[in-house]
Amino acid sequence: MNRFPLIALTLSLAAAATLPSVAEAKATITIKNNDGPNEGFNDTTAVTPVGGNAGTTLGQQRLNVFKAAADVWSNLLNSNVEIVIRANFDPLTCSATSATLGAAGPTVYVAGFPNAPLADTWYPIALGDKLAGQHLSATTAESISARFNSSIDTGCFTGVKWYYGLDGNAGTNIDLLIVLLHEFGHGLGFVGGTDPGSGAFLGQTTDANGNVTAPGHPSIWDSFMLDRTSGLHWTQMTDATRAASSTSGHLVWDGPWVRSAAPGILHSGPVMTLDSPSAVARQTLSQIADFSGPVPVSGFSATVVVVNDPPDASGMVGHFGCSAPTNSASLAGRIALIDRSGCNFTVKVKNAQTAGAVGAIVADNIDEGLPNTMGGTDSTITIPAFSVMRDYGALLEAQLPGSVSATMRTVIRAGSDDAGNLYVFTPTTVSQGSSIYHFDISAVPDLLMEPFINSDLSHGVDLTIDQLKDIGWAIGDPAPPITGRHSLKRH
Amino acid sequence: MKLISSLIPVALLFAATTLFGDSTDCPATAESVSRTADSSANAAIAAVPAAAVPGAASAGTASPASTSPEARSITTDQILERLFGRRSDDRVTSGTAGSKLLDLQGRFSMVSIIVRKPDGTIGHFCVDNIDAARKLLAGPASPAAVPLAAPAPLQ
Repeated sequence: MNRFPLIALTLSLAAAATLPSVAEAKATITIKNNDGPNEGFNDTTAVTPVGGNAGTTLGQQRLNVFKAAADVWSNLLNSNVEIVIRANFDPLTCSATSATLGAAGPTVYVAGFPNAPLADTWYPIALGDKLAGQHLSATTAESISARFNSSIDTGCFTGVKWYYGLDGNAGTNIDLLIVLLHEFGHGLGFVGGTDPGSGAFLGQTTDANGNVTAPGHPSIWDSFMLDRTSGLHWTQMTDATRAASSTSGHLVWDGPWVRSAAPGILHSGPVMTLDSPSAVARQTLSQIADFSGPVPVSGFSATVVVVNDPPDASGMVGHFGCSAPTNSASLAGRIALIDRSGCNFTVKVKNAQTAGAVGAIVADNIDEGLPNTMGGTDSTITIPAFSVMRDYGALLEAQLPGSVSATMRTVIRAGSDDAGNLYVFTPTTVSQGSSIYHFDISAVPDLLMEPFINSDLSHGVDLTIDQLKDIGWAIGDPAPPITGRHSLKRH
Repeated sequence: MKLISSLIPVALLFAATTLFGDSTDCPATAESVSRTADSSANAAIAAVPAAAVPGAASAGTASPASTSPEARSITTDQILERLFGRRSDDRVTSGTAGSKLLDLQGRFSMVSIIVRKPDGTIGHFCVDNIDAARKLLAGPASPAAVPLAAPAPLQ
């Protein structure tokens, strides 16, 4: 049974019961500078104002961006309880090839508070405070913690520094405002406490033998996590089934605010569905090549066959498709699966087309999230060409040479299912990171709360605000729906 | 110089352990965490000498401090452990108005990381577990082996 109506009813009743007699005020979000003298936000290094940030010291500019991010959220949320963000700008990990940018999240989860819409359910404390109309922690008013890396400004990640402007003109630098909007989104509630790896609820305790001594509680997030295969929400599942669904490709967010707003945000985009074998059936995430042939909305399905290269000097058979495949006969009328690397993308796809393939899928060869769009020009290519993440390519190849069927199609609203629910990110392995607590990367346009923070984002919050409304930020709102979502732009 | 270099990892481990703390630094209950104490703890982290952090240098300087791979490994791990923390450190306590609180003891559910990909582009990831963070910070996985006969990768 879909539990959504029950949740919606519960929340609606709670909203009616707790609607303040005086409408809630716009949320006050305060940045608490937690840095010491002459470092972080207090760094006195002189700098030139940039992109609408009038700060004249490094510390001032950092703080101004934090305040700007807080202002965006403040203008979109209502609460009569101050939200305090404990903020640090510290030296963290940084090298020429990788760096920790920072993090933000709730300091505390709360349950069982006055006006709680759902019993025995964890809420991020900023939301809990809002719903209760008071600070729920007697010891701290800090509801969100944020720590970001000051070392980035030294140029340790070669050629890239923080951009402290507020105008979106970050160029090749990192737009701190976008990163903060994303991370503050986590702090406000775009996150849950349930462990996607084990499926254990937050607060679960075990004894020395690993036996559960207290089961913990679901987070409000879990109430909107619908497994499309079982039809169950995470709140209705066991630890084991929750963990399994974390990598299933079938988890969607079915909150009413997000579903209502999604049609106004999402555009059409390419999707590849792995249809069979049923054990691994899932929607996969894809990028359409610049040179791709048209992808019909109705889509087409075909068997997937990996291309075989001529044996190299050692007798090794690769699957790079840089020359005429040796298995052309079996590729005719099929979707060709090709490994990345070795030659231009156009060469790979053209070779597959010449062999008779009706579609081409290029599997990435590194773990980089969604691959960059395959570039190149070849007007003679007429078949659809998608690239997919490395783990999806591996998933496909693991099924071969058995019978594998896939569908390539254009969906009207990429990132949502046919019912209008938003896919959440469920990579094939939790260890890849980012599982569950992000929107899926198949969304078009890119969304703020995708796991791979994309350079084409503007300073908008798109569907993030609607997700926050779903978990309870809408309760007590004087005039939903919200305005000021800030439209997205793509560069 | 060699002796000094060999001591850096030990010194960093000591510093990291001291500054980031272990379970002994965690309060017995969340409610015992005073704002002052919490601020002090964070100030201590903020006070990590720039030279003790891989790649970190004083603001305004052009080149990062040189750090041995061993020191980087230790420091990176300590920082990640501090950021992600441990679920076992979570404490459930009583809040006001009959509420129940679960203090995350400063741990984050998500950490944002950037990496330079083999093709030179930059990937920006928000990850939710320490293993994924370690993997990313260690560098992208090696591309799949290219057959000997294949030409040099162009894309």
